[in-house]
Amino acid sequence: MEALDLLATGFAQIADPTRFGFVILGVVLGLLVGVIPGVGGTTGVAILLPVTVFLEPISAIVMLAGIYWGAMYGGLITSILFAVPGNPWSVAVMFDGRPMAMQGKAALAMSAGFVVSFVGALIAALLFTFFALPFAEIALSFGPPEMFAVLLIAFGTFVGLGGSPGKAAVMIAAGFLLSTVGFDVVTGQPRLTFGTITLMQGFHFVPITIGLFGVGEVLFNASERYKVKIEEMTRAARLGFHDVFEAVRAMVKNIWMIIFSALLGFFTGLLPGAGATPASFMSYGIAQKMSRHPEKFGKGAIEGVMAPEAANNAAGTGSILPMLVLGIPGSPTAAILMAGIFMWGFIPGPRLFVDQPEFVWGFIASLYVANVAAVAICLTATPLLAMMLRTPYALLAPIIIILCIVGAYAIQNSLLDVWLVLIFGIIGFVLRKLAFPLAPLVVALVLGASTEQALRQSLIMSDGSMAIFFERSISMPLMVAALLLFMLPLFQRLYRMLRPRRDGDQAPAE
Amino acid sequence: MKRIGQSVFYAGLAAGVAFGATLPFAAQADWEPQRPIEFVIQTSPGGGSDTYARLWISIIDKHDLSPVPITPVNMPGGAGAVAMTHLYNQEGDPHFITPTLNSLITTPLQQEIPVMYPSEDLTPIAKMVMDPFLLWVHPDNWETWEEFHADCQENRMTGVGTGARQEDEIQLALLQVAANCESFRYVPSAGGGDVASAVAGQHQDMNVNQPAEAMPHYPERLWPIVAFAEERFDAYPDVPTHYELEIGTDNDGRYAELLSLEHGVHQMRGLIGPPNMAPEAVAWYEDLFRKVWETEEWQEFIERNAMTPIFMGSDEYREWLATFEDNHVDLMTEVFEWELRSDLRRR
Repeated sequence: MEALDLLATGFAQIADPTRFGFVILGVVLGLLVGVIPGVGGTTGVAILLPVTVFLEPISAIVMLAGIYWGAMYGGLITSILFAVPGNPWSVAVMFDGRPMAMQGKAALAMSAGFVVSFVGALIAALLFTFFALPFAEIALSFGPPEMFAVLLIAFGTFVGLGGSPGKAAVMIAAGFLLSTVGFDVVTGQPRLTFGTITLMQGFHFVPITIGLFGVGEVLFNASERYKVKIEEMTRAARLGFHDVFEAVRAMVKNIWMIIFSALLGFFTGLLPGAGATPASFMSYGIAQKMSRHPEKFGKGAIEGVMAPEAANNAAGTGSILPMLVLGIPGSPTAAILMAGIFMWGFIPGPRLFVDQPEFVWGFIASLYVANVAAVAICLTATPLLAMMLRTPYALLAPIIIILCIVGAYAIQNSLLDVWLVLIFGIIGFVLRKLAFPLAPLVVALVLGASTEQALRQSLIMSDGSMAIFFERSISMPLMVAALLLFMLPLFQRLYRMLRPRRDGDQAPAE
Repeated sequence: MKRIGQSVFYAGLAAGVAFGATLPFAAQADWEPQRPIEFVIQTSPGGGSDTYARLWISIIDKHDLSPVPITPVNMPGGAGAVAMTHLYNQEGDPHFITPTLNSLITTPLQQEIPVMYPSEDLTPIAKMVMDPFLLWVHPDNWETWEEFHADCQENRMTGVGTGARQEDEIQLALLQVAANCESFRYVPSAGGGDVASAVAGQHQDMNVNQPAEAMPHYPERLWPIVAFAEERFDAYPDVPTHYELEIGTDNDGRYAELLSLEHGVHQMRGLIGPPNMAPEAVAWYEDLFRKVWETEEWQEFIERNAMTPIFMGSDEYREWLATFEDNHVDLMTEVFEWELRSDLRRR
């Protein structure tokens, strides 16, 4: 096959020891920056971009891409260990990863996350290798109405995800409200800024997420006398690789769910403005809805770790595709890589594949190499990472708080973000005590702005008519799917009411 | 309360820094930076301005043009309002610079921030390039301006651009008035790549992108039908200018002039510093960026992305900016009747 020949050329490009070294260097750097909450791959790639003028283009792109892939893996570590999401797309993995860590299964949760990340990335890399150009066409066929429908599906998968529906609704509303603060892209006017310039930057979801979960967790643990649990948690930090085997077993058992999550992630990643974050939430929601024991989700179900990780790594790979083929960056990191491609003297687009095959295929080959390197490094380091839990909590807690603050400041160099971390830390603590679910707030905050923008763009196109969502051939089925998802809990209730004698805990999947 | 605390902190910092920085250097004939320079960038990493800032930094590093490192600091938010205010607060301290783009003009005319006219309130340093606008459509819909023009007088067209009430919307609104089209719909979008793909994917009818953003789709899915300039671009010799097409050339040609490259709307890339920079410091930066401008890397970048090479030093750039600002005020208030900031001071 032609693609295989080209891929072989690509591997030949990075077989060069210097370039290979740069791939590995990138992965290691990515893992390191990925661990710091808020910093993540975007910042890592941005910092090293100017340095790349000293390199030849293939070494430059494979190193920067290596950082990106490495950071995709690194993000889950702090999510699972400390409930501090390293990236926005590492929020979903925390829902079950953190409870697993609390039950002494931190190493297993991380191993499962890494193994599945690798599988997700591998599936995406294969799709990338063989179908890059046709997939780019799909990305192009998604306009604002289709984007809105996809985002609505993301919200739909979260409907009825446990907890009191009333409290969840309050949290969703709060998330939407926070997402509206700042500069409104559609009118170009500030909203809810009370005349201040500082608030024009809006409430970035990273400091709020870090505050609610990371700092909130520290406060919560302090109030719950964390000591009791620490015994249990450290028992898990055994050295050895049996957790890897168990993770692989769990993966094989759930392989279809993982493949589905990876495909979902890849497609979502293709869409500009969507990317890894909604993909991870959607696949978590769907995995729970499809599961035979949905009640275990949120309490340490390994599927809850695997689904979002498969999706977000596949989405990360997917988001590079429209950038390379169409010049549309699917994620902030893809935007920086694109800036690099311009800087090195190339122009993204279909002609890049024809004019610069060594560059393109060297880059694609680096996808495989970087992911193999990342999973190998991560799995080797897992027992050591889990050992971090042995640190006395009195020492760990201030380190976590410092990491949270530094990470929040690093995003947009704003002191407001530091205050947000601390304020939302307290809010997070209070909300947990009152048993309000935090996930709906984060989902609404993360996706709120893009959903609103897609809705309003669509309505501008249609002069205010909602019919636009149902007139277009792609958005119509997506909208129907979204609406059905929203009504699913209602159907489930009806189902139970109509068949009272049957056992009701088997949730109907369709 | 926290905001007050913060602004007092910044004011104190700015005053202290300004005091410390200006006094000793004022005595020297030549100025050199004494500590790392902060490149305050108004977009997130990967945004348009960010790309330019990092490119210039890389050129400076490669040719070893600065004795101190230049550190990029991203302060996105408020279409440049946050970064611009930060720069304003560094009054007199030449260790801060910001890349310029058109929101430098449009944002302070609409938002009540300390800066109103950057040509007066900040210190223009250099203009590095003009990034021209062309009108792009999908070739399946229209192949020439004449076809498009006939259609737009009958039907409402939908344009897409970056942000709201910024250069893309201004250029499209001006085109509509100048060409007597039915009123355009305007869909604000997040960035140049999205804007290009919205037309390439036939979701919207047109955009006024710069060549670099349209290139990945050219010529199959994006086709330029008007070049907004006095002369045709070397990169697109077959695309007529709006003068040739007589867009806005009637009634003393005011609209045509505003649509054009020289004094009209285009994406400008340059540099600006805080208020009251010492002339020696301005001279140092001017010299630095003139060297950057002359490098092979920058000249190649300009040519590859079909931009129009131009270099302006501080004084020239200040004068040019003042005209540019006045043109914007006229357009936005008189032609479009947009509401600008309530304390707008007309010149």
